[in-house]
Amino acid sequence: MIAAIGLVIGVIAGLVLQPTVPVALQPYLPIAVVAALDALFGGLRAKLDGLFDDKVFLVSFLSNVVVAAFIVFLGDQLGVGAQLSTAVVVVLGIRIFSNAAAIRRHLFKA
Amino acid sequence: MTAPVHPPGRRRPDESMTLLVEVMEKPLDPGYAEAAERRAAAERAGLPSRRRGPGVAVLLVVAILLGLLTFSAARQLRAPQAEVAAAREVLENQIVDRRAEVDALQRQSVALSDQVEDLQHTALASEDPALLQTLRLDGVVSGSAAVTGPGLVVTLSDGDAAQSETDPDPSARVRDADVQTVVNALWAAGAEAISVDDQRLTSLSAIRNAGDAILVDLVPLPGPTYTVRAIGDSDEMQTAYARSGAPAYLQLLGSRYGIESSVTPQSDLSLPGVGNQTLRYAEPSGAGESSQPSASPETSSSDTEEERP
Repeated sequence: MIAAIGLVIGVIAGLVLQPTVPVALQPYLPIAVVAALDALFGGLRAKLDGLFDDKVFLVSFLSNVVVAAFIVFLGDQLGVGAQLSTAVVVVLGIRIFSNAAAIRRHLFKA
Repeated sequence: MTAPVHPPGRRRPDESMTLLVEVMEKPLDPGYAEAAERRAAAERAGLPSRRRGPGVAVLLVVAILLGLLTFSAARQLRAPQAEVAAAREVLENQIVDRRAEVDALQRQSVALSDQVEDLQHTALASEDPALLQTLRLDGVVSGSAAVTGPGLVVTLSDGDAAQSETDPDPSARVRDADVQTVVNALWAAGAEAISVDDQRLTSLSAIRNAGDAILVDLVPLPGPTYTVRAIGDSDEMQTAYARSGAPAYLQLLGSRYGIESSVTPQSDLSLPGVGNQTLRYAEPSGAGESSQPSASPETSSSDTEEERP
């Protein structure tokens, strides 16, 4: 609950303050957003499963974003940035899909 | 990769794809289950399961920061890149500026070549009137002088299929060969001067495709309608043009690709000149009077008057 409230406050703060992300971080934004989506869907599913926990949600959210950005950074340094981005997107995409399917089953019983 | 030890016969058939199986079958972070277990254990032990105090504050701050970060990242990714737009604007301005520069220089060039021609004429008028007459005719035929007179106007328009937003059909566009066919038929029908979309054709003009655009003398023509103006005896030209292969060709284009075309006689057309062209061959005027350009089409200039600006 706290996590959801905090996220909403954060989004509203973003709307009001209109912060800009530093240029150095911009290459990692797309992957970070995909990772955040994965964490959000995971959290929603956990909520529906009755397993939700604020701390686990926030830690997984944070680590998802940081690890995804780090993998892309590492890939860029090694010259396989595009491939590693694809790998991250594939894995996170599959997870988002399965979690979304579980949420759908919960909501529509189908 | 070392597989975990299984008794033989209980090996999973998809053992070699553990990574994918893991991703597919356990999309939920195992942390959630562990946390739920811990909570249940704490409840069984009679401990308070709810966090409070500083822990809650830390969680709230982290959540706010994550919300802020994710939202601003998403916003930044969605927004049109300011630098890209600015760069595009700079390029657009440059194009407009350069185009204006080109126009100004072209006007200057036309004015100067008119001046040169005037001086030439005044110099020749007293010395050699016959040569002056030849020069005037040459100017009409080679396309360097602007001309007015009656003639034919042939228009070609891209078919509708070429302009559809979703799935434009390139074969419904007017091609260079189509314009060439019309122009050649008009020359053969006795045209004395022809322009395509205000580009006067000279004896050295080329009509060709570059990508999707038709170029006349390297100047791209704006589609989708192309206007070919030809000066000459409009009645005779119309008859001769109708006898040529071009109308049948255009009809074929119309029925197969939807390319529309029309032929209209006009009593008063005026075609621009291209100004003085590079002199490639010259001989002294005393040596021979028959130094007409050989590449010019057949001509009789009875209907054509040279336009003096």
